[in-house]
Amino acid sequence: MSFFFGLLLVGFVQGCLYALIALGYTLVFGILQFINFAHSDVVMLGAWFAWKYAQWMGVSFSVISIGTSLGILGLSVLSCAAVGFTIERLAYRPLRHAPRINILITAIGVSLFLENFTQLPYVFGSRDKAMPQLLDVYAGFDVGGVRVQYFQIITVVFAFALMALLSLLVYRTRLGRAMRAISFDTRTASLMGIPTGRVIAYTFVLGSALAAAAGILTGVAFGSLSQPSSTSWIRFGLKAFICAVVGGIGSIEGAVAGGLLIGITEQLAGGYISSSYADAIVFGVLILVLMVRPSGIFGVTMREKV
Amino acid sequence: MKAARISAGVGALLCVLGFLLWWGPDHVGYKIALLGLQTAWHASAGLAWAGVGALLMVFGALPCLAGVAIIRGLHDGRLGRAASWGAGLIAWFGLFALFEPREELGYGIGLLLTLLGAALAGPTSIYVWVRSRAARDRAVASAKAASGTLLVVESLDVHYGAVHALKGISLEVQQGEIVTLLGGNGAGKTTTLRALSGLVTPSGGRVLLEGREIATRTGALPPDQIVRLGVSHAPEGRGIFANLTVRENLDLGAYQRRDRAAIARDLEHALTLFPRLRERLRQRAGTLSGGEQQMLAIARAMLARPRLLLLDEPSLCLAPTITQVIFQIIRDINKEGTTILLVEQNAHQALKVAHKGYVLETGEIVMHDDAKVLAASDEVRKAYLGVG
Repeated sequence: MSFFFGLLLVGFVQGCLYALIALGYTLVFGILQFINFAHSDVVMLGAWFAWKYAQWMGVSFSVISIGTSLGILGLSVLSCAAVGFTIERLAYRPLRHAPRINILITAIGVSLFLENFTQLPYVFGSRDKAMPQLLDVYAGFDVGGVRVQYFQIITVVFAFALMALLSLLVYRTRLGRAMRAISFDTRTASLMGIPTGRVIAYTFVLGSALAAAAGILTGVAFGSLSQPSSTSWIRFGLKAFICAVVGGIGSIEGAVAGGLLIGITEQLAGGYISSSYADAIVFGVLILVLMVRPSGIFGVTMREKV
Repeated sequence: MKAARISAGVGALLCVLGFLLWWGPDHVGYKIALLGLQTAWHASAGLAWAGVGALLMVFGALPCLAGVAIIRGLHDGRLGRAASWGAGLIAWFGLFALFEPREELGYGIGLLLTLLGAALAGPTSIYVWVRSRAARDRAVASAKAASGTLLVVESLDVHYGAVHALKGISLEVQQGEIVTLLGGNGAGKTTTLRALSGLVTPSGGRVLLEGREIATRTGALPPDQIVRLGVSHAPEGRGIFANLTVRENLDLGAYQRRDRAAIARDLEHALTLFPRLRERLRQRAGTLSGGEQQMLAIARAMLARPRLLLLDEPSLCLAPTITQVIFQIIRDINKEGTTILLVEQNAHQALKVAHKGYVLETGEIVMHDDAKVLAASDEVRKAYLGVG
């Protein structure tokens, strides 16, 4: 039984990270109706920025203080937010009125650019690196045979705090109201006096900040960083995208539910069936959910625009 | 003018950046960030230091924020675009200089940037100041000259690709009037309103609001800025946000306003005009009936407290009794001082409430006169009133 709960715990933590990334996909899709393929690269950038800042500050691989950890985390999140803003400004905004396929291809282009540009020797380099331990990952306690790490608790609390903040923002504030109005009809939203370009930019900033947080936590949990264009980053982002689709893309609750579902499924499948088939099972869940509910668990049927 | 503003801003930024680079010990930005983080590190020992650390971090971020704000300000016009690219390049260059390990080079670039920035910012900011004063004087003078005339449309052309939708139409709306725009399907009524609210850019002619150009061939103000100037557009098909509640829809109408007390008063007033909406405030707007949605659209447009209200076919698809109610409310709103430009297919009702009317046919104005005269004229009676 402790084996089961152990898997459940790991899956839950993993699910929180997926949810953080899926929120970025879902926010952008809700507003612009396009899939930001560069999002998984922002996750990668988040982790690598943290590594870079740690290098600059001369942080070694031993455990470091909470103040420095938070500083690195904050700087890296801010940097990714800036990257998200820049991507939107330079790559997507000029295509606002272009056919949807153009912006999709651009997103793939941005993704390839980020993966390859960051491999340059004076950026991050093209080798795997060890991630400084911003927190002691191994410290923890036992509950009925299940090992619970403090780091896992921190990850879950942090992720849920961010999600709660995000849903407060979207459902309770003026900016959130503007975001929901734009997701329904951009043109009419601009007639309300909403500066649509600025609100869309904020959406990218928010999504990228969440992705950065997820990237750093993942990097710290694994203790090492795959090189920027590694397929492990792409697979990580892709699974988060599946979470968004399973939960119903465009829906915030859906992203969280999808994240947890996929995270837990992945771990249970890996533990009880076979870790080599875990990915296949995750994709199987996607197919199953889409067969029963084509618009995802929390998805609403798309309103056709006339 | 815009270019001058931009160059003043960029110059000022260059000055600050350059001065920091030249005067600072070495790698200033890095030092500041490092200092902030180290202070934050010490914060685990004492909370007092955390405040200082945060302040330092904010200080380090300020020049970057200023840069973003300036780039953010430029989003229309070829010059603006070019300048934003230029500013981006300079920022890159500045960053490079900031992290340049060979110190003499960093200092040299810093000094150069300072001088360049000063040379750019000094004269241009004086130029901007002088020009903006002159522009303000002109605006005041022209507003005085045009008192009474709220909106002037001068030989406006609109193309959708190869389709010539509006062929040089001209119209005027006086303060306090209801002006109606009549015409059949595809005559260009909706296109006219879209050009007025900034949704489409005209290919010729211009639109003046109180003597100020809001749309010309070279570009139109974006819709959100036109709303700020006091034009509110209730679009064709109502444009209700079905996924939001009635209350949220109404709040969006007042998006640009900050005066909470006045908004609350206006909301109360709108709900008195449309009591049906009060009962449904917490309902999703998609669940409203057609008439209720139209009421919501008008109430929402009113909450922007417009001086000019653009209504696109408010009676479309409504039962006759509800149409009566809507037109009565249009009349009431106008009596309270809001000028209205009303696009209608229901010429009978529209001419009853309007002071003045224009008749559009395939993108051209074929008649315009007092509403009473139009209602009595043979052509209008035949074509739009179904009489004779």
